Amino acid sequence: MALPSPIPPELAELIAARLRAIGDPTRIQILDLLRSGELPVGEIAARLGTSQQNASRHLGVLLQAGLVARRKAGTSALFSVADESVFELCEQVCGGLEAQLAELSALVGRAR
Amino acid sequence: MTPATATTPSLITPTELAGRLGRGEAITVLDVREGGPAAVEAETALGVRVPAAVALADPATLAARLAGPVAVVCNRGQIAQPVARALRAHGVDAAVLEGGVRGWIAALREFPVELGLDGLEVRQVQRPGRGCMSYVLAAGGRAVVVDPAPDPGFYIELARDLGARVTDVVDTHLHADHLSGARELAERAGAALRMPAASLDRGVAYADAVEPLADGDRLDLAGVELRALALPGHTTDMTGLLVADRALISGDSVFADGLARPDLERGDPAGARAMARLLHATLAERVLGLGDRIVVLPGHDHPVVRASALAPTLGEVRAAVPELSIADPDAFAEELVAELPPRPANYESVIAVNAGRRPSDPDLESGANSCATR
Repeated sequence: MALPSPIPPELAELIAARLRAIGDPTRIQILDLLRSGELPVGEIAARLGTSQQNASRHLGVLLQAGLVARRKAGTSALFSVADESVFELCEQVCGGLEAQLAELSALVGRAR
Repeated sequence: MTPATATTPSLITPTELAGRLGRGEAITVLDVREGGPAAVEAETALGVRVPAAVALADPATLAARLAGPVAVVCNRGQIAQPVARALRAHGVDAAVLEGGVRGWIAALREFPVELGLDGLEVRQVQRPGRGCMSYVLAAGGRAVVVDPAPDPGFYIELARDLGARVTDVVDTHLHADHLSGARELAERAGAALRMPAASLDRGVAYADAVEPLADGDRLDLAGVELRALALPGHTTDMTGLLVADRALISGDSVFADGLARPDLERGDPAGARAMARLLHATLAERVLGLGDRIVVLPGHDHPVVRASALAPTLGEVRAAVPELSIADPDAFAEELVAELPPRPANYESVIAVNAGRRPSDPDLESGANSCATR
């Protein structure tokens, strides 16, 4: 969507809420795990080396932000990415980061 | 994405949604509420949450992400309407879940349970939005209804379909998680209202209208014997029904893959442990001895749309519930109280309504039941 200018306060709030949902290292790792497909919460917790409770809490935030989808299979819940555009966003941010990192290491190299 | 036309109905009733999910149809359930636990659970229900304000701010982007039929869910079926309309304008086959989550938690579905007894029809009535189970047993033109949900018409019609009239309504205990439909059903059907004698001891305002059911009492249903079996633990009054020694309507004692929580009558830690030890004795002395082949007809399930009845054998339940092999009552009690989920919403008020001590209010019911320890 083309963002209106100026951005109305309600929309700014929505955008901020979405960025807050993504703005956490654990949640970024969860989204990364789900890139290859649907996973149960236990598996996500195991791969991250965290408790199931902690993984569930983060998945809840992602779910609430519409970034992941959930379905029930037997007694467990399976999670998948609901909004693939989140990866584009991450890559745009990461592209900038890579450039920064390169600059940083160049600077560090020169200082030595 | 299916192109939607203006003539396509854009409402889906809870019964219709449950039916389509029960048949294995993949449906995206778009929940536009601001929060709350998942509303519609099924293996083929892909739950996506996008608050209505977000969906309406940019329906085109949302529409591009959604595939297949979409049911839009809100609290009462109102705010979902503009969302569904906006999505349909972008070509999504979107319909509003009629009545929202309120409507969903009221939906009932019935499935036959085969016990191999001539002349006896058993129906399990599932409430997929909440995971509450009730039962209709019919034989010889009479029907006994156990733990009915607050929808008397459903049970009266179901009994009629089975060629029977509801003559007995039984509540297995004073429910803490859902409003009992027993009193209203008994009144409407002119049936006897039966409750455990121990429920009356907990204080029931309409005790005069109740025929007490004591441990060992027998009800004859056209030659099929139903026997009351006291199963204290979840509550002091919890009483199951043995159906011709083939099945146990277990109420809130043992479920298909878990046990009833022990802290809804006495919430203090010492009280909950005492009730857990009582549940241990009940299971060891009164349930496990029934043998692995008996069919367990539980009072609860996880809130999920199923394609058939949930009626495991006790052997299957033993395999699924590791706590059933803990021999020591204290160890069992510790295990049970260790990680209890939050108690059901409004449980004290719900008990008070079911005991007739305060007027009913449908808003007391919300979300999934939480009568199990996990």
